Amino acid sequence: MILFIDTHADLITIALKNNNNLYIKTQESEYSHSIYTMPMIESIFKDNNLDVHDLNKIIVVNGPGSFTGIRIGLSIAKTLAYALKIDINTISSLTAYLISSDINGNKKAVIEDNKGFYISVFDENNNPVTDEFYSDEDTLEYPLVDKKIDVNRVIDYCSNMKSENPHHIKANYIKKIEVEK
Amino acid sequence: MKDVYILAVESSCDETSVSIIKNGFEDVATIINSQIDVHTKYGGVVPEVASRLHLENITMVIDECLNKANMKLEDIDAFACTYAPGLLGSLLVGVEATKALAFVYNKPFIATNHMMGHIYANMIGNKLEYPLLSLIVSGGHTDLILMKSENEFKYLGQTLDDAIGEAYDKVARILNLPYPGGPNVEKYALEGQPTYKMPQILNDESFNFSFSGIKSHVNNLVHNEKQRGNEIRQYDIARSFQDCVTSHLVDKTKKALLKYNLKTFLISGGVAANNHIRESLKEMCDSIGVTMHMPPKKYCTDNAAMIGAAAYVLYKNKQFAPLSTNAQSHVNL
Repeated sequence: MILFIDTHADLITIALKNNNNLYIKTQESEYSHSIYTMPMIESIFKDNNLDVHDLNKIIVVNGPGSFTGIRIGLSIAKTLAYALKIDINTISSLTAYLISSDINGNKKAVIEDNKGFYISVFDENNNPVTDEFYSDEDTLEYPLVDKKIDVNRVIDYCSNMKSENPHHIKANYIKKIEVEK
Repeated sequence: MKDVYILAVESSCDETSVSIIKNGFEDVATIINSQIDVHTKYGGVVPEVASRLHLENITMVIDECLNKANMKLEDIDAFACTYAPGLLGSLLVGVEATKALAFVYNKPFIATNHMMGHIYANMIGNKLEYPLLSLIVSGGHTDLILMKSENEFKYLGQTLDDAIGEAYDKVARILNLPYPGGPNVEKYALEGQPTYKMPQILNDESFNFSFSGIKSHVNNLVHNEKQRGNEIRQYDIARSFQDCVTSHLVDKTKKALLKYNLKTFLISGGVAANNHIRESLKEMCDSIGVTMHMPPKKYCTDNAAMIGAAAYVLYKNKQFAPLSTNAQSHVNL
């Protein structure tokens, strides 16, 4: 059984995949990820009569996106993985958008914030064309993928990944903060 | 009654701390991961940096604490954390991690106020008599609180502007002393004499405090001395400043003790680690027959042991919190 946690944007997504059943909960939230996320996780197990102790893997979106949102999802994910002693994988929000898209050929995912753009480009085989980066402008002329995540595709994408150590799970901020520059 | 073990998490500022507290007063194990070296580089706590470090360290600190206590998460009866007040991004890491543990082990989740934690630092290895007067002195607070019983808080007075710890830090900056400023001002004061004239602070009938006036006074003083080409006697300024704010604390505290006819007093918070302040308050209490409690210095600065001690009071009263609990930057008791 696999738990998927995504808190990087205004739409919180919690999903549970058990055998071939996929259960999904979503919630729009601007500044209340902390209020919604744990209750959503609790109820997705309860509503479907499933037990958190039967989990064997967690997939969590680690950004880029809202710093606070990402930290909420990651704090929960790494603590669950540590306590339950199960596998954990992180996936970039940009990667999740790219592999969820049906566009063939090169394509880009872009997340905008108040100062610039987080950008990632994949080719037709979903291999990265460049490293993810942050830029003042978005000038690359590739088709733009939707900001939508297909949970089944994300689970498949992560299926052969080696588990990360929960203690070493970090956010994918990409952008440096002022004092580090 | 069966022994109660609470695992407590504190992440409200720049320390990631986890403790296991037995029956509210026995510190089984405490780990404090301080970020002070990182923040010293920047001359103060940078909230975004603090939040990032909490996230990186949280499970390791939990694990280290369990190892030190030689216990497993399964042995814990309730999971507690600081939910307010503090830096939001920092608090959230502790809040979410603790909620996740309570969920996995199906145990109560206890959301604890950081200030309540400071007060109950006095309960670790100690017993308190009520009613009592509590003085919290820290970087964000200067509060006089009347406690008629264990879980009853009535604010008698608060600072009208800066907290006392903030004033210490600002004076340190004016005197060019390195971060963390407060402890350095205390060190310098030890070597100095109170030769500089300081203003009288808020000498009124209220139990409120004020520390921004004296900060401005020190600032002007240093500025004027420089203008005149006079030597800045840092040690003497530190001493004059410390004597002045200490007597402000002592006066207001004494007034409250006498007015409410209290026989027990306790001090807590980061500035409660200051020896001069501890001794001056103790002397005043002795002179009017009041018993004074002060936590060991390791429980004055931020730590999770005090959160576990406070959480035990909430545990006894079954004051559990839902998993929808959010962190909050400002909440009074």
